[in-house]
Amino acid sequence: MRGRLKFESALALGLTLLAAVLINQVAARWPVRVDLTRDGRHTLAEPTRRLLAQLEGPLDLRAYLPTHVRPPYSEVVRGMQDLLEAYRAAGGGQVRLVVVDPTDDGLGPSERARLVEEARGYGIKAAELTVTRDDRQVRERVLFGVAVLYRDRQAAVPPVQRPDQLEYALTRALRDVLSPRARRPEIAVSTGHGEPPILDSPLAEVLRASGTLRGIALGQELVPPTVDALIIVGPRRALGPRARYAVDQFLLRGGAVVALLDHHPPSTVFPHILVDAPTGLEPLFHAYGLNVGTKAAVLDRQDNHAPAVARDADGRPVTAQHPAWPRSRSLAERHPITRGLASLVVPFAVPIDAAGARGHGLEVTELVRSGAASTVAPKATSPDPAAYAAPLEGEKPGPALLAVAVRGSFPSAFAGHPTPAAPEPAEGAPPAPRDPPRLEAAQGEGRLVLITSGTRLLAADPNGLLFLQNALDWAVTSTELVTLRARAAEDPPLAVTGEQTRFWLKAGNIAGPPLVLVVLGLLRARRRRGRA
Amino acid sequence: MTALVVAGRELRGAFSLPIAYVVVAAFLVLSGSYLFVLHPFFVVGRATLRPLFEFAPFLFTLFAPAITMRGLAEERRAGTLELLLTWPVSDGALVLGKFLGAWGLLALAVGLTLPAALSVAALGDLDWGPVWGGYVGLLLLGGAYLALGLLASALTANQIVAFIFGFLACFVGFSVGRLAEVAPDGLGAILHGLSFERRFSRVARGVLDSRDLVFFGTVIWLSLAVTAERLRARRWR
Repeated sequence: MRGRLKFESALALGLTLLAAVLINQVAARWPVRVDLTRDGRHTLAEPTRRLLAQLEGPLDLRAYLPTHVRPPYSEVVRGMQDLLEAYRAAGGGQVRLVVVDPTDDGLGPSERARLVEEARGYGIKAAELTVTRDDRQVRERVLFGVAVLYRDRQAAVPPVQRPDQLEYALTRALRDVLSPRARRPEIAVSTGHGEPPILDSPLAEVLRASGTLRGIALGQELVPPTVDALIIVGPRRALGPRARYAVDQFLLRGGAVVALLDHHPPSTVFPHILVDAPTGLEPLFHAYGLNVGTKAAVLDRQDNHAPAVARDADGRPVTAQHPAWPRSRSLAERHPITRGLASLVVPFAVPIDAAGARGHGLEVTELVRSGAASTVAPKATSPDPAAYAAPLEGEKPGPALLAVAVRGSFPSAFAGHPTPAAPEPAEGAPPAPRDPPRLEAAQGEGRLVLITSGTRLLAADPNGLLFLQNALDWAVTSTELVTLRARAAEDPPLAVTGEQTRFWLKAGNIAGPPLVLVVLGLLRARRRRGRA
Repeated sequence: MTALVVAGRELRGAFSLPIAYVVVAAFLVLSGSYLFVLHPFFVVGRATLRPLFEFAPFLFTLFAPAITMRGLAEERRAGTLELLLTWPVSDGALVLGKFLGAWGLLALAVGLTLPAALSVAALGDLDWGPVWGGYVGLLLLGGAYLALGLLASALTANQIVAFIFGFLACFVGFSVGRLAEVAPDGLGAILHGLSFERRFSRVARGVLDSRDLVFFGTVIWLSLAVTAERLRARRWR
């Protein structure tokens, strides 16, 4: 009898285990998922689905995903596997997926070499990552990325830092191979006016994700018709009339300009003194109804950044809260450039008055405003934070506009003025090509992003670079894809609160619920005693 | 129905002793302290409850066995289990009732963190999707831990031993995914699939996936089934 009961018990448990495995298998085969997030950030976005619906033949996704890597890339690999599966499912049979693990212990040297060769042909590079091998962690160069192949076109998706950046990267590659014009946007970077050497810096690699880069010496040449966007970052010498003319004609043609301007750079002779440095673009912006207060400086003594202001005896950076490095939390939530950015540090910014631009029929979006406690000082002459500790003479309270995005039919800043003459070619140089016919009115929708902080903005915090990337994407691509990147941004910022409010919030949340529970317990015990 | 009766009795019983108040209050103080003090909430400045959902699973590895250690072990030690087994209640209903009672206590503890969510929502534009996902995930993960803890409680008459067994089972369940990184490929994939941490983090980011819900459901079901069989085995002896 006892033996039979034991057998029945073991059988019941065995059947239960079998049923549990089967149920999980069924669930894995036909998964159902509900994305509760507000913007459906964990579900394939509409632009992705639309692009997948345009497939007229098989799309091959060949993924090189190393599974033996350490965090954060292990998370990226898992996220990528899930995302690629979602692409395959949404592709309606047109998407063929092959996943290869370059860290697979079973791969021999010849197979490894073949994989490297194959991946190189697709544009996938090896990245140096920490890999787990035989209980040891070693730095290894491993293949990591996805090749997107469609007809005779191909694109490579390099590794990203966070899983939520994957869909943007993959869909961008998908769009590149699907695009009938098969042409990447061309981005010109202004040079020749003391700008930082962007084209020779690591920043160039980041910007190349948005298009092909080339330098342009504004003033020496006009913006070629093949260029889609023009970046001007921190010119130290003022752009002349011919350079302004080049920018003006580009905007009238329907081009896009992203300008990150420094108005208070350090003096080249005395680095501890800041100078007022007009960029030369102010008259141009004035003609569009954007007035930039070149001498003023926006300060915030409550909410600011602490940059390195000196070095101690051991060479370690000494940081200090800096009122002239205000942290703005008032960003345009809905605009693709700033959507998802929690805050932005805008060092030594000057205020913008954009009221006139609307009068020209332009669509103006106020992207960044300084905080409620910020002020506008009439000048900034020192990089030292101590110089701004006390209110300056003539300082005015109130937030200021620090960045705008403008789109529409720009008026010509040169209407009624003669065309600035082209520079004389150097001796022995071939004559400069003739200017194309001058545009007096807009031929297309121009786009302009203006922020009054440049090189320091990019150095202050990672969001500065994100701002530039988003601005560039907004400038050269459909806003749909920019929106897709915005889904990957961080959580919304908290409102600025005083110390007292913070204290009560902490105390209330830590002690409040347990206290309520204890009081209820005491009341219950008392009632029980009363009954007894 | 009988399971619900047992659950009600368990829940009332728990609140007739100080231990339930102590355990729930300790959970609330620790989770609140982590969210608002240990994690630099106001320095990071983001409207999110993610830190809470990252920390609570670790707390649960202690909290869940602490709730369930008395469940059956104490009944055995005090000799009331035999009395209980004479009730007109099946073993399954008895185990299910005890589990539901413990789950109710855990749900109360989780529910009492809602003021923190409301505080964060008052300070920023909180996306409630991941918050609800996080709460669902905590209930599922907590349920799995409780079921394992109850099984541990059925294996011994000593509460402390039951707690240690329960803690180990929960800890292994949560950290099994970490072993996958050093395991051979085939085993690694299986360990990933069994990882409570991975499943929970997917739900807590705001995605209710049938695979994860079914996984936690079957862990609870299997643990309770083994516990019920363990009780049933006592009748033979």
